[in-house]
Amino acid sequence: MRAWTWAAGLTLSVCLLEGCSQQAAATDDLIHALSESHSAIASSVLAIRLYAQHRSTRAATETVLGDMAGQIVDAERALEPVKIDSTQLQSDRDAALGAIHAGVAALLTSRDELQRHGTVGSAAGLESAGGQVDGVLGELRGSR
Amino acid sequence: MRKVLGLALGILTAIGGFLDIGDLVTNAVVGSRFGLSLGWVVVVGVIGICVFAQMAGRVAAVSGRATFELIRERLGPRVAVLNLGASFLINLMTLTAEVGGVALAIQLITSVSYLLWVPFAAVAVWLVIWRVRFTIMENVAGLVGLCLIGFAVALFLLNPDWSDLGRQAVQGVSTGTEKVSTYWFYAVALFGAAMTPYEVFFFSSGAVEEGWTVKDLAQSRANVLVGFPLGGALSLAIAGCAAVVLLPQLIAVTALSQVMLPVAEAGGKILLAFIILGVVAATFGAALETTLSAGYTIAQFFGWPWGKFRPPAKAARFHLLMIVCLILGIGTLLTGVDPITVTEISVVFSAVALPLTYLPILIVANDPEYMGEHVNGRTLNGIALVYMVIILIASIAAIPLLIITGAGQ
Repeated sequence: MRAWTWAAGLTLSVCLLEGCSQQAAATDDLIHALSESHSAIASSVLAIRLYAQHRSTRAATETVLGDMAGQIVDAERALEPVKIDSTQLQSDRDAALGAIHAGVAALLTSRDELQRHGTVGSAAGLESAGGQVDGVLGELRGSR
Repeated sequence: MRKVLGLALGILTAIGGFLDIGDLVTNAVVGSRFGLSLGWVVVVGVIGICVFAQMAGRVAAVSGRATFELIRERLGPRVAVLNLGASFLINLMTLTAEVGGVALAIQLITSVSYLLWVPFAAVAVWLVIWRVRFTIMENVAGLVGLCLIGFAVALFLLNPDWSDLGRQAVQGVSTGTEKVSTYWFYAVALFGAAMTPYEVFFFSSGAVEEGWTVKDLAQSRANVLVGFPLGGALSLAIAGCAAVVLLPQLIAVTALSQVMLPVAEAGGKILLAFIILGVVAATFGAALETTLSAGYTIAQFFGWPWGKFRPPAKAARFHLLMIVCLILGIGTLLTGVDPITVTEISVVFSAVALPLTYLPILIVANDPEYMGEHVNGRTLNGIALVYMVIILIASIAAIPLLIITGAGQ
């Protein structure tokens, strides 16, 4: 009887630990995708600012925006296979996806504007998306 | 006067030719994620490549024979073929990364996708190897590569807090928000970037190409001992620029275009143009060296006629091999694989394969039958043995760290 109790306790503990580690791994994936998105948005904001100040060329700025658009789209895609097994994780992933999606939209708009008109009106859209990404990132880091 | 000019030219070429896509990318990635806390690895790597290249150059000048002829002779054909396989594959990976680097740098000038520039870059490499004299090829690429001094200028113009940078550099192992394993992964990558084996194949085979003799040993030593450390200082400047501009904004470098942001911030369009020209020259020069090294390694191993000093018709297999390697590089890049990822993996695998070429050179440099009075002295041997241990540790740790960290993610 005692052995059975030990075995059941051990199994339960292993399951709990496994569950916790899966959740932690999923949160790590969210944080990684958000950090990549932050880096892409911040690079783009910097590139646009330098271009507006005539410190950089159009070709170099277009290349930065193109590279960073690729990076943030990859970060968004990386969230698709993340396993969801709790409502908390579901809501975290939704928040992360929402923020990254806003970043993707803002970055693609800026890139297209530069390619078509040779200027970017303002980086305000990107800065706002960056703020959203940073907000979710801060909450996730704080919750760990 | 002519000797002094020759010496100055050799040193300048060594500085400009020191950096390649691996150094550019790895130093910028490290600077943006760890500040200058991995600066010590650049110092260790630069001393290591000085020891290694100095021994390889001396062996080539004294014996008149290049690295792979000696490796085959010392290790025997069976063991040496493993060595050849590993060295050739890593060299091919580095060649692919360099051709990709040229194409990425041209994209920064034209904003046309790098994929369209890859075939042109490879054909240009082949044309230069086929038509241009060895010394002209080496000197022009090295001298134009000196434009990368712009990174040092950019660092000064950014007017950083020098005491903070100094603190980062001397505090050693400091990971910030990064994992310790990631720190050590990048330590191995930086070491591999500073000590890429192709540099030594090229250096020793180049010594034979240029007909070095014992009389040229002093110049060879000066090129290595002055040129390489100054090249290493440029590596630190690249990391410094990233540490000052990108790290505070939590921008982690993943693309060559991001490496240019601190330069534009510091010096505007003129400095940016200088640096892009330097990147084109440095990657193009390294593409030439890796393509030649691919031909050198195989041709030297099998005893085929090799070298640019022979007309292509008299070293047909050597030239054909280089064409095949360039085609393989183009094919790999046109699959859409990220050249920066290829670069990051190639520098790590350079660290893995390093003992395979370092050990035979160390053995031959100590062999009085080959070297006569030019064998390693006691001090150099002591340093070389310490480096053998460091190289072995880096080589053993590289693949586990690559797996644990997911290639530094």
